[in-house]
Amino acid sequence: MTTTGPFIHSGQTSRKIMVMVLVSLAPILLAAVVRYGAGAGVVIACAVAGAWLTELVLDRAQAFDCSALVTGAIFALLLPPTTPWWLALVGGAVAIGIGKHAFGGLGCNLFNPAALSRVLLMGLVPAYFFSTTWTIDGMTAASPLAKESGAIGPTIRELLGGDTPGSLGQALPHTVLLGGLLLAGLRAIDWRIPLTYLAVVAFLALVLPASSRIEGHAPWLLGNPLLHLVGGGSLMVAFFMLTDPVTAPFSPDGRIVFAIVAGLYTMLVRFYTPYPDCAALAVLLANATVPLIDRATLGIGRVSGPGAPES
Amino acid sequence: MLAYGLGDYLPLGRFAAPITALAAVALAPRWAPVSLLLVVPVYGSLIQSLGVAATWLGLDVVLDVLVTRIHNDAITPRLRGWPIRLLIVGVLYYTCLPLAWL
Repeated sequence: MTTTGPFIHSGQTSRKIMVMVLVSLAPILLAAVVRYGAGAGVVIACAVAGAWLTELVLDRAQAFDCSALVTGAIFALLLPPTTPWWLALVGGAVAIGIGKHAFGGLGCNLFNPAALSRVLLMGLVPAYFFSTTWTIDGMTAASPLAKESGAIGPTIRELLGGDTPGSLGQALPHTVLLGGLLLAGLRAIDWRIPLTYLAVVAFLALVLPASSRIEGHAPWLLGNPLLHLVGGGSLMVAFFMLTDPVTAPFSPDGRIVFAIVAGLYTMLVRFYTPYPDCAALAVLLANATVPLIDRATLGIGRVSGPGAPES
Repeated sequence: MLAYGLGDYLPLGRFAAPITALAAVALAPRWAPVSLLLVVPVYGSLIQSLGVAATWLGLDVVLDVLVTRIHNDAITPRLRGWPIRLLIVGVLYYTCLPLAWL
C-alpha cells in the first residue's frame, strides 16, 4: 500500500490478467512453431509443463490461475530453438520452484522467475546458451548480436521478417510488438516501462562509442537502433518481463528509472562484453534495484505482499 | 591499497595481500567479503582491485535493501535466513558477471 484507503477495486483479478497475457503470447508462440518447426513446439510444451506441474505440486490452489503457464511460456520464448526438451522441462520447474516459490509464491518473488531460471541455467549449463550460431533445418547461421563470429550484418528485411537466428521469442518481431501493444491497450501493463526501455536501447545504440569487441568484428552493431530493438530479446523484455507488476517499482517515476537501468545494462553488455545478448540479465539487475528505487521514490522499504506494514 | 603498500616495504612477498585481508577482516567484519576478494584472484592493477571491491560494496547495499523486501512469513521455514540470502547472492553473481568484462 502506498496510499491510504478507501480503495476502488479495478475488477481485475490475477487470473484475468494472466489470461490476457497468455492471449498476447499466443501469436508469438505460434510464430515460433511456424518459424522453427515442431522442435520449437516440444520446447514450449516442456517448459510450460515443467512450470505447471511444479506449481501443482507446490501450491495446488494457485495452479489454476494461469500464472505458471505464463511463466513457462515466457521462459520457453527465451530459449534457443535447439534447446533439448529436458532442459526446457527443468527450466520451467526451476522458474516456478526457485524463482517463485522459494521466495514465498505469487506476489512475493524479488526476481522475474523466467529470467531467473534462464540465467541460472545459463550459469550451470552454458554450452546450451552461449553458442553464437544456430543450426535450424540443416542451415547454420550466426546471431546478429554475436561478436567475433565472422558473420555479416543482417538487413532490415531479414530483421523484421525473423530471418535472423535467435531465441524462440525472436521468431517474428511483429508478433511480440502486437502482443505487447495489446497488453498496453488493455491496461494490463504500464506503457511507460516498454517505451522508456526501448527508447534507452535505441538512444544508446546511436551514441555509445565502439569497443574493440565490435570494431573489425561486428561493425553493424554500431549506429543501428533497429538491430538492437528487434535483433535480440529487447521486445520480449520490454513488453513481457520488465512489466511484471510484482517485480517492478510502484511509482510511475520509479518505473521509468527501472526501465533506464535495464536499458543501460542491456546495451553495456552488448557493446563491451563478449555476451551476444543479455536481456534476461538486464531484467534481473533491474529487479534487484527495485527496493532501492521504491525507497528513493516513495520513501518505503517493504511495500507489498502478505504481512507488509502500511506506510 | 594496504596490500600493495605492504608488498613494497615489507618482505611479505605473496603473503602481503592475505595478511592485509585478514587484518581488515579482524578490524571490520562487515567488510570481510571485500577483504577476502583481495586474497582469491590475482588482479592486473590497483584500479582493477579497487573496482572489484567497489562493485562488491555496491552489491552489498543492494543486498541489504533486497532482504528487507523478503517476506519471511511466506517463505518455507527451511529456506528462511541464510539459504534465501545465498540464493540472492547467486543470482546477483550471475547477473553481474558480465561487468567483469567492462
